[in-house]
Amino acid sequence: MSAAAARPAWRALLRLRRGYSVLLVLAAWETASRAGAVNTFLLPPASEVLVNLWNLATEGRLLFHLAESLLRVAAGLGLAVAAGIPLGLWKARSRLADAVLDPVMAFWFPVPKVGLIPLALLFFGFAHGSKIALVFADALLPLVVATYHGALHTDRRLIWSARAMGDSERRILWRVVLPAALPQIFTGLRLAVTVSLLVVFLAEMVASSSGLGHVMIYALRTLETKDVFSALVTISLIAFLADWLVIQARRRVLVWHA
Amino acid sequence: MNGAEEAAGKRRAARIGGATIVIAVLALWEGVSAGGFVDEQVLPRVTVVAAAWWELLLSGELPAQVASSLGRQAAGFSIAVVVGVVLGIAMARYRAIDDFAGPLITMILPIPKAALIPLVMLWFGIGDVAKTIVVFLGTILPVVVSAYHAAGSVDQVFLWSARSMGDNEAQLLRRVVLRAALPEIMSGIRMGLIISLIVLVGAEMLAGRGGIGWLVFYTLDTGAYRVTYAAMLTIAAIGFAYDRLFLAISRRLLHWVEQE
Repeated sequence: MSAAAARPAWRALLRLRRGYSVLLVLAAWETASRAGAVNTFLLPPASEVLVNLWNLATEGRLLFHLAESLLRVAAGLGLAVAAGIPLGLWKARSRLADAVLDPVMAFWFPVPKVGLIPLALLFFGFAHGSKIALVFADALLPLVVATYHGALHTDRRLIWSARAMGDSERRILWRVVLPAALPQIFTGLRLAVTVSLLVVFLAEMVASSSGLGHVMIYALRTLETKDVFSALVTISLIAFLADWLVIQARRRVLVWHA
Repeated sequence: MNGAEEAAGKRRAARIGGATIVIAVLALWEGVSAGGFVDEQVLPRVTVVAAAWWELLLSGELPAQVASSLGRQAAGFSIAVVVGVVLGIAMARYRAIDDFAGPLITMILPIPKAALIPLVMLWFGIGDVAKTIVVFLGTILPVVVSAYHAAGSVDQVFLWSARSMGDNEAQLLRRVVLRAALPEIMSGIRMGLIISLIVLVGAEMLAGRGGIGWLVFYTLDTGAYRVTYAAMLTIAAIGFAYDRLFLAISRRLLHWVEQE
């Protein structure tokens, strides 16, 4: 195994073994569509989707909608981080907070928040407000739960040492408990990012006049199927990149963590 | 014994706390609406919404829409669980299947499942079949991934002992691998359950007739906000009930695992 991995030719073959199915599917898609085996309206060739994506991107409209979606995610997620981490820390450190938040979270967690889109629309309007509120509502809990678990399982000895060295409780919270909880918080953040993207695109499809979700549903209704596929590719790339960024940030911040 | 008593006491306290908070929220809602802090059109009183909900229930409209939604959910969800668990375990056990399906799943995994709804609508229309497929797609990925991870990290010692005691491959899979992997698979299924409801309600809001998500938007468009609220509360209740049901089943299935 290790001897084989050392030789570059073998390594290339190994990589091919792990990737051939993707190439196969892409090739099948392209040829089926070009040969007319499937309706090109329902499944335009992959290459044409890419060309179309390039045109949409250089034309600028796609970038506008992309920015709209990202703005909503960033705002909702930012608020959720700002509220979720303190709430989680508080819940871990205070019995009262634990008693109050536990039942609230038990109710709130399993509720499919998209069902509340009308509520968001009525209270926060058709534009950015409703989407930011929905992202916030969905991203908050994973962050609270992750912070809580991380903070709860902080090594007692770390807290004792800090106390022995004369740190105030508040300082211990921010300097000891929070850093110790960071690995968990990043896990929660990763989940929160995934959920945020799911919700923002769904909300944009259901009720919006901008954003990538809107682009997709508008393209479907006007039967521009190439645009549907181009939007799907863009959304997938964004989701992939967002996840990658969280992982990179985690690696950067947690250099001390195994 | 002491620990069990303490846990029971904590559960009771949580239940009382939960009831108190629900009542407080409902009272606040009623007060805000009745006191004129928010337009009563936009936020009808709890009592008015409750009356609308009761009316909707008696007229048979609500049961019909809920049944329509739950039917779609149940079909897509159960197919996805079965296919997902089988595929995940097969990937973990057989190199060739992993080599084929692994990279494809890695590629599809990060796609926000909502983005697949328009594609499904394009190919399968807006009827029951399309919505069942949407639920299937939303559910299957977390299930596959959890089954794959869990089955891949089954303790080798278990496998060796089962083999040495004469288990064949089928017995090994069913009696050792599936069982050892079950706790992690269940957490994947829980994730899938939550996503399945999200994408189902979303798809119902987007297109077609029937279903609880449709009812919410239909009444929003016609301005019957009382009914919109009643339907939204029903969605929340369904999500909550499903989660409770799941936890009960999972406790039953995993009675041999130490619960926290």
